[in-house]
Amino acid sequence: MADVKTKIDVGLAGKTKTIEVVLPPGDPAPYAVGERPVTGKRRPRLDGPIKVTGRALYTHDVRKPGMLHARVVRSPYAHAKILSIDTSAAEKIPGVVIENPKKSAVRYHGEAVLALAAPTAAGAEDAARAVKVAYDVLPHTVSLAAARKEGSPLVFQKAVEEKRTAGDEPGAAAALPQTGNVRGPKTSEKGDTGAVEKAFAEADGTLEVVTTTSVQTHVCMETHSLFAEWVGDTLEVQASTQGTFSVRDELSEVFKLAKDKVRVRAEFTGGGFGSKFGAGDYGVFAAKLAKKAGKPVLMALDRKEESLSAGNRPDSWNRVKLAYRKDGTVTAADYESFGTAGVATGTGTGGFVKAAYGFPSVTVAESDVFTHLGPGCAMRAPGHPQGCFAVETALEELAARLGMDPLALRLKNDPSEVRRAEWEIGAKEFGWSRRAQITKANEAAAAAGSPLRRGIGCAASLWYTFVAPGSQVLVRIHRDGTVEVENGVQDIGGGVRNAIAMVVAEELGLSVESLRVKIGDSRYPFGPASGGSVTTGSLIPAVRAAAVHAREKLLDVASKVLGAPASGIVLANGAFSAGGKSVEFRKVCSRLPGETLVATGDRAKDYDGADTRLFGAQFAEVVVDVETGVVAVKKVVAVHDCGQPVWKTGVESQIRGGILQGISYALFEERVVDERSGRVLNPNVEFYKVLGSKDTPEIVPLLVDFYPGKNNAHARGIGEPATVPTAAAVANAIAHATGVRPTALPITPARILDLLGKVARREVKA
Amino acid sequence: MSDEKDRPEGARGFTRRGLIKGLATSAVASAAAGAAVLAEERAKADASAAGGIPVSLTLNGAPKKGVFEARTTLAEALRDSWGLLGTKVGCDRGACGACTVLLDGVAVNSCLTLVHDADGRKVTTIEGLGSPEALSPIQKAFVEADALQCGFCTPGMVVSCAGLLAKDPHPTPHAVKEAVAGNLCRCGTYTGVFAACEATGKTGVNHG
Amino acid sequence: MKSFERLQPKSWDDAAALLATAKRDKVHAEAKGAGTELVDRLKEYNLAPDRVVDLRRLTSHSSIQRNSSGAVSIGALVTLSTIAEGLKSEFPALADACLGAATPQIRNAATLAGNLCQRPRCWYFRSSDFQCLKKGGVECLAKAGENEFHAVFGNNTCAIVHPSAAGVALLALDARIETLAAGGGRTLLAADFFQRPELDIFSENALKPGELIVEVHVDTRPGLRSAYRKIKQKQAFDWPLADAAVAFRDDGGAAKDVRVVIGSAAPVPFRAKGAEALVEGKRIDAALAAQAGRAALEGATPLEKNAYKLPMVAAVVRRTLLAAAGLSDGTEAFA
Repeated sequence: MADVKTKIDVGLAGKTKTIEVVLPPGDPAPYAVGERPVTGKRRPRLDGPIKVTGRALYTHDVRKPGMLHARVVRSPYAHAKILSIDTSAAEKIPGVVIENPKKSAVRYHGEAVLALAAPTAAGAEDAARAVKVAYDVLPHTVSLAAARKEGSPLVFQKAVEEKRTAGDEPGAAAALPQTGNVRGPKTSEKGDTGAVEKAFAEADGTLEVVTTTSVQTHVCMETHSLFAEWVGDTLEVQASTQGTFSVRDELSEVFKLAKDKVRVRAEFTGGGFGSKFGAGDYGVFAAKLAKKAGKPVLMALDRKEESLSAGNRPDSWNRVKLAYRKDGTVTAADYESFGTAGVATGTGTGGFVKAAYGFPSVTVAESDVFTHLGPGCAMRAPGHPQGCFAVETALEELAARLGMDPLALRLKNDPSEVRRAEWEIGAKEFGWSRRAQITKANEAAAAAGSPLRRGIGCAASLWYTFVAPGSQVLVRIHRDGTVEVENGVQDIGGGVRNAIAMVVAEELGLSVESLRVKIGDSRYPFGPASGGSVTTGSLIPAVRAAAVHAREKLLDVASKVLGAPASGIVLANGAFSAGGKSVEFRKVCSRLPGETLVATGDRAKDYDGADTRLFGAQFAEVVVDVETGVVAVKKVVAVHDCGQPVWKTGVESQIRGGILQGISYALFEERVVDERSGRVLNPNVEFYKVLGSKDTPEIVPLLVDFYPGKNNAHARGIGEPATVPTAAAVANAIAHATGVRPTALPITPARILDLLGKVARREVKA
Repeated sequence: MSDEKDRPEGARGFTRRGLIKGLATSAVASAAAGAAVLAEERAKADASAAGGIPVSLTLNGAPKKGVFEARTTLAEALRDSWGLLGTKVGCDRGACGACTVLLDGVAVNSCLTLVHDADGRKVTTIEGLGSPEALSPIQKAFVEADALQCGFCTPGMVVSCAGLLAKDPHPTPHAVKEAVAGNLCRCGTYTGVFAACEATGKTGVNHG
Repeated sequence: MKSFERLQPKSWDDAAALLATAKRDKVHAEAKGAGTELVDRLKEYNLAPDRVVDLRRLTSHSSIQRNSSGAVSIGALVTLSTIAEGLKSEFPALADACLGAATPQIRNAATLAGNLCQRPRCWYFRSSDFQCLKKGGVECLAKAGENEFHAVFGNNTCAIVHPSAAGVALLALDARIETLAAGGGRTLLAADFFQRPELDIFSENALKPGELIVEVHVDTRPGLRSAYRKIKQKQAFDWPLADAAVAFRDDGGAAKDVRVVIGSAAPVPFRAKGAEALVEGKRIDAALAAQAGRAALEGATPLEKNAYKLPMVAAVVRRTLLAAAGLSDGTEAFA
């Protein structure tokens, strides 16, 4: 097919400009500016009724006759040689099957040693406790600071290759220098070489800020789990996953099976947040145990296992240096980060400083530091909440130094038309202009002896539009009028099945509820893994293409039934109409030339030339109790770019969720490790603090009406951008309230009291 | 002291029943007496089915029996023996609320409740509140407010709200926040939950 | 959780007898009320008894009784929710302590006796990965480890903080704890019930093996005022960083028989006698409450990571005194 050139309107609604793009072959032209009948609206979640009644079944809920329950025996030590493994007592328990890879060493508390399965969960637990492992305990290093020191116990003797998962940010994975436990730096820059140095030399002033963040764990409500059953030579799997296809690919590789011999289903997944892309060692164990036992096996990690072994957001140490002019313009940034992902890599936080604002030149150096702790992995906007906190803290400090309004300073450095619109919308909704008044009211409160101070702060969001190439959607229409839409994608809570149904309903003039959306199965056409906010942007254009192709085929049939040219037929409200005549959708389907009509749509590549960045702006209001250091977040206003939202309800829910995770990250979440033993002290939800109902503020999610013009549906994701700036906005609000600047997350009462000078230094032996 | 009956359901509050003065001076038990009690208890246990102790309770309005090991939790019995998989296990330590059920109408963690402690009592699970075809008012309100995302915490969250609304049909926002303070949602659906409870309260329907 | 034998006595005496038999036979037996605490520990293998003696189904000691002389008796099996609702007017300190504990689901099940007897929430103690002093190890791991949530008073031997919020209130209310055991029961003052680790590292209270709490008695007094307040990092389900209960008799505007009890700060809830002495006989006002808050810090020995708790203790004492006196502490806008 020849290239089709077409003119499209892109940009903010009301300010769009017309550009010419080359449409990919077979791809429909993008939505024109304006209202659409179905998409872009709010509506109840299609799977809501089965979820609120407990009828939605997750991997945890698989129960099959003869099924075994698996358990993993894990290391109680941070670093040890395994001297011997005695499974004889466990083997005596009836029905126990053991998969022992005979490991010789363990590198973190909670690392898997072996797995076993038994007919009941209690039996598997008894068997796991009956396994005797003898260890020779070795020295460990478990903190970022200690692991960086020369002479600290080495986590790896040899150079480590970066293993990437679908949730990671793309980047250079080339061999990096490795010294001791430090791998890196990985360096990158924006602007001309030497420009940063020059800008610093010519600056009116320079500023340096160091921030730190703690390890955050995902705490998916459904712990990582995988059910495996061998049916003949086929491995049938149900997984609690963000990627049916990534689990399939991993298992087909491990078991040397053709891809059609592994089937992965994920009807419902109880959260993922970046931690559920692969099969996991637990998943591989489940499949091996199932093979050995000749029985289906369910492996569901317990909360402690998930916390110790199934991933986390690495901690970070970040240094931002800014060169600036007196008017608040940042002319260059020099950025350095260290982070530890335990035995894994991928701790960089420098993405934000390079692309969030219009800093003309930036240098970045990022290093991973290995420790004897469970592997970090992708977590909702990897690296970005950390990088945002660092840069936004520096900007806040700069505004204070220059006596500028913090928002004015940001506008000075923000060339993005979209984000400038977001700042404006948000500031108005939030009432940013109250800032000076609030400062005055705090002075009055202090004078009156009240311990409460109010504060407001803001921060920018940055993410990117990644696309999973190869996504394909199939629409199958039966003669009885049944419409099936198939794609293997999973729903981890974002509600993609709603978006799929709405797009198809709109193109086919049908009700959303009437469509049979089939997802979560690797037997269906390829769909994206749900990470990096790729799902909607990758899939929805393919859904629309498939629906448009199906409509074209139906119009041909309808044309014969109605005796009118296809181009003159309107398909709406379940009927085809032309020239005053109307015929029901089902009636046309009954006249299909074959038993079924099949149409497909492929995710074409993005049109050239469009900005791949996703912008957002958030505002937070807090009250700080300066007598106790306790913080209450009162309100968050979030303005985001989600292109043209498909299912608005889901978009808003994801924004709310991203904000709550961000507040939780700002104030509460911190994995705590006992340095002496190298063990994690809070691998649970009692001592690992996650925000709850009484910590939830009022949230106002808003969207800019934006036509990015990159694909046929102006579709983009929202999962990550919503969580990127929240912690920084909260920190800046706390700074406004208290007059002291938090530079470490989480901002605990202890840290606030310390910053306020209320903790007697002589008593702190640190 | 030996004529005590099993505790009847709802034996809470301010009844005068059961007040026994001077307990410390009542018939003094001894280790020897304990041996006899132990023998009696064991004889009873032996009479029951092998490998467990019988349990009989009212589950979602219908009588239910089972035989379980002493260590079996209510959550395990519901999920592994009675096929009621709507009750989820999120932390297994009473800290996340995914396993919340109503025991005699009151929200409890089924992961910390031994199934034998539910003997003779009324258990209501998420399945007992409504069905996809016939949603209860609070379930309907959850869907309308999109008070759910991944849905894993949702059954426990709904049960907690149902327990609240049964007692307090028009809860204040503070009461709602308090009622779900033991329910963890990682997707961040709390504002939807608040809206759902508020909406249900406004309809004036006196149950979850 | 390890398999165990469940015993279902028909009476409290039978329960005590079963525990006595187990002790005689050197069999590990545990008494169970609601089980919210016990099952948690069983699952962590923090405890692995052979026998569990179930008290929950017993009918006596499961309600709140008021007698004509103004004493209120709270049965061992009364739930925290019932206390929170039922004793609001008589003993706001106790009601609020119970209302703020744990989660609604736990409060609906957990009993008063279980709350008083629950073991510390120290993360070294709770985790099966650690062998701390309380579990027969050689040292308190928190003292040289992660002690941000640990004791700032009386932490020389073991740095746990006592986890019972109800206990803080009961100590302020001069409650008496009645027990039962094979061979006889007794009545202990709340102050004698809680026990410092120096006396017995393996128990946080004075109960002997096999001894059961059956009732808790609290006297009402004319003019009795009480309050409980706490400070938490997270408002939905979190353990307090500091809490306090205050009780006194309002004698024409002057506070008499003042009790200021501090929780979450030491291995036992304890009376801040310096603060009490300051307030005794005086009319409570903002300045006096603040002064008492500072006085409450006398004798503190913070560890490496928990000195931040001291300003919190001062704050919570100040606020609780004001609350008991019906005065504003300036934090109303926070809620």
